[in-house]
Amino acid sequence: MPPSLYTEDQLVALLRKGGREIFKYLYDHYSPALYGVILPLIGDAQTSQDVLQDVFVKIWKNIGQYDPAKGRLYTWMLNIARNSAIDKLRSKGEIMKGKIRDVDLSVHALHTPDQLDAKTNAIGLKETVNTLKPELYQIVEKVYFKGYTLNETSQELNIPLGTVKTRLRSALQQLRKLMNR
Amino acid sequence: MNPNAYISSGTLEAYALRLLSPEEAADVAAAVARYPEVAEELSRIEAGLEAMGAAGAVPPPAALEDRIWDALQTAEAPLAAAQVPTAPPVPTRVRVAPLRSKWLRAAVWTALVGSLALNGYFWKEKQQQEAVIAGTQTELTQLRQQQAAAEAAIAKFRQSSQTIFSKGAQMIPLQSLHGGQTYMLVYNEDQQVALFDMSNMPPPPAGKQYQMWAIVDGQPRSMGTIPLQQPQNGMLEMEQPAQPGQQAFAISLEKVGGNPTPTEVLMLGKLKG
Repeated sequence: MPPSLYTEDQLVALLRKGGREIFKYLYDHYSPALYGVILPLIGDAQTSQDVLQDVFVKIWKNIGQYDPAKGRLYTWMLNIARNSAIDKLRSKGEIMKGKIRDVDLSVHALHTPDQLDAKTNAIGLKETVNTLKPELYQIVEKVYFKGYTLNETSQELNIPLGTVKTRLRSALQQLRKLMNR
Repeated sequence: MNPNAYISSGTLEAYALRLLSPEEAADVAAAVARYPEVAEELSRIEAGLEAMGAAGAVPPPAALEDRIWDALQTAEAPLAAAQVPTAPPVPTRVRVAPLRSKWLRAAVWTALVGSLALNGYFWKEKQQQEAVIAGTQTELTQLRQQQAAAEAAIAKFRQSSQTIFSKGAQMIPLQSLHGGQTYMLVYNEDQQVALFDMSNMPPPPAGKQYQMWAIVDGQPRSMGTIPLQQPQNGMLEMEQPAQPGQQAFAISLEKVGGNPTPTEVLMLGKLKG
């Protein structure tokens, strides 16, 4: 990722003004992270690129509604990416209908040779997730990599909703520690 | 729910991943606004999710950038397309059967002309209504944007006041070395933020820019240049990591882009203790 020139506040102000230059900045800085969220969920590169396009259109059009009091810009964008990918899967009926790919999603999507760095990256995240205890791993896998809702996760794993949430917290806390090392 | 229960329940994580219903999310947003410890925890969670995003980053194909930019251009102009008026409805040809009576023929023609006139009237009416709707939509969009901007300004203001009115804050007058106005700077050591009220500061001369410095053991260390354009509320926020042995803050006038060492120091404000 190129060095950041702007703080999030400055970036929001510039995005609200628009223009090719700030779009390029946005794209250069955030497209790898956004694509890295979409690709493992969708699997197919072509569809993932269409979703990434939708995501940028949504960011561009809705930046006026972004509220910094409710969370950071980067998280807001990552969530648009996740939700757009999940919507795409739901529109195809691929969530909760037994059609979800059971193979390792991140690795599955990344077999093109020009994405060698990318591959190591996505595998890096997945490997970190793999080191979690099984009961935490399955929560992250369902919620983060497969786009399940909390209710769906609770039903699928047959554990109470409150437990899904506390395990989600433990899992993200541990990942945070692992990634800070 | 008390703040600690919120934090330990995992609700904040679910909120950060947008997994809550709108009602639940509104509850969390209220708790975030009310309890600083909840806001801090949310910020930590978001930083973690951002780190996960960075760890999983995959560069998309290079050609996609232009394609998306083109899509943004067309996506931005749907309103203009809708405003092109549609052609008035073309009356369908009516095959009139030969009529015996002159009166009857006249009646049919009258009805036909009347119907055409009504068509024209309704069409015009419809155009006017569409224009009204388009105007209302534009107005609504503008109002929404204004509301979002106002909300953002309030959020920014709240953030600033949290820096000012909390533990670790000290108010430092930056006194002019040339007998000019004194400006105020709030340094919050706990939050590692320096907040500078630049609302009354005159713009720098052409080709020049203000630069802020931390004076540490008598030596200036650049904190970065002060943007040429003032922030909306006049409050400039600069990240200020604690510098052991820092004695003062200073502002100097430099060429645009700043200098490694100050050339013309304008103001100086000493830290307490």
